[in-house]
Amino acid sequence: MALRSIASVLPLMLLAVSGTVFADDRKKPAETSGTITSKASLESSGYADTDHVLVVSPSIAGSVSDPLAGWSVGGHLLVDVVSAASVDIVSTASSKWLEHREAGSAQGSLKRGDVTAGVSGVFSSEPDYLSLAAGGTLTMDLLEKNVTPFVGFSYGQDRVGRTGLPTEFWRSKQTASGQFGVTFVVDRSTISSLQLEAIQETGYLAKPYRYVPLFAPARAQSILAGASIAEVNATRLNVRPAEQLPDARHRFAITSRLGRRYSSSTLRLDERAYGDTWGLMASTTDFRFTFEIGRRLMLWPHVRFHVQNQVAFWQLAYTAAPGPSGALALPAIRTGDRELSSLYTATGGGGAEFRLVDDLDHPWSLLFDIDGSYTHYLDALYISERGAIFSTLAVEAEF
Amino acid sequence: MVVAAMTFGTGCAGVKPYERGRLAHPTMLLGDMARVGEAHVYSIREGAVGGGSGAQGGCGCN
Repeated sequence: MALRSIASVLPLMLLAVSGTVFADDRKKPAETSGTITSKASLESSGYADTDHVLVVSPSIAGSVSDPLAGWSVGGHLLVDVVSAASVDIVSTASSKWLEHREAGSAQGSLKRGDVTAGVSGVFSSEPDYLSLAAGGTLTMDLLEKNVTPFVGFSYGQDRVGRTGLPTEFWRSKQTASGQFGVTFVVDRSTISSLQLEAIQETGYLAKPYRYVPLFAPARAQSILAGASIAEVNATRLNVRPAEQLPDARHRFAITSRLGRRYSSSTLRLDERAYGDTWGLMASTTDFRFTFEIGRRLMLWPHVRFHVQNQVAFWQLAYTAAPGPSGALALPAIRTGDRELSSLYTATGGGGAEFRLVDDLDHPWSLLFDIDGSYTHYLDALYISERGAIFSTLAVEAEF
Repeated sequence: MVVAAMTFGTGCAGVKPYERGRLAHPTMLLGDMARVGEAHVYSIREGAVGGGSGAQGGCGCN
């Protein structure tokens, strides 16, 4: 049934025409003319999973740059339309909901000598959520551009509310991150990079619509991973409090990237190791092999694997028992967010880029990418696995 | 260990500007392989974030 629902929305995802991607000046020598280059793209992405979540995201992007003068500006706008009737919604006796989100970004950079400075800003808005963030980076070319270190910093402020709740009662969340990295030219065909990032999140980190079922200690043992909504409802206590999480989380990630170019193909391999102060550790591996067929067509298979353990306070079945006063003593920290539990996700797919207009100065490209993923939750309520499809269709033009 | 091996196990030799024809190909940009929408999906569906570049906004997945 769920697979049929994915199959039914796939044509919609494919038809939801899109825009584009990466800068493509492969047939051009390095810019020396000093002329301004403009790029525009239109893109549409679609996501559907077996938990009855459907997202369609059209977006536009553009940039203007002058490589000789050393500056560039750009930005993008995106709209998410989300339809969801997931098990988390159904389990709280809520009806299917439809929501939209607008998001965008702007960035600029200026190069002087061997140093490039960049700034960027991001916003995301929906009826019950607002997020603003800004950041900056400094990059320096060393040793004839064989070694390029960079540092970056960003700060974001989120406002988290509920539909119908006056904004003065919304909660806040702050995110600050610092990055340091180095890119190495290894040899004539190979580049690698190493990046360290530390992220500090403080404030309200829970989800206001997420409620956590509680169980009497004697009955919690009978709840098994993947227990159905009916099984949980038949066993749980009547009280169902809102999710409650620690008000600070420090995340650390170290990412290594490798790119190797062959005569008409490119191998990319990324590895990220992650840990945070909630006790979650993860590894994410990305592999892509891009190869060209003639002058106009590029194809790439893509594989990604993510594995993580659960946070320290994760429990499949949180318990509550009457205290001395007779009132239930609720667990101070409680969550039903299965993305905080032990899981692994395998993703595979591929894409193609076709050059519609093979013009050196004004190329047009059409891109299509599709990935399927399978997630297995080792210790979560309601579902133990989820399948998903994500696709993108894009068109890009350069003027 | 994988991260360290990928980064430092490859060594580092000085490559002159005129020897970088292959490195100039657009597929050799070491940015995120995931596009904007795809990266957003990963940030929501995985418990780990970070290691990207630039400012990051909230997930907007209230």
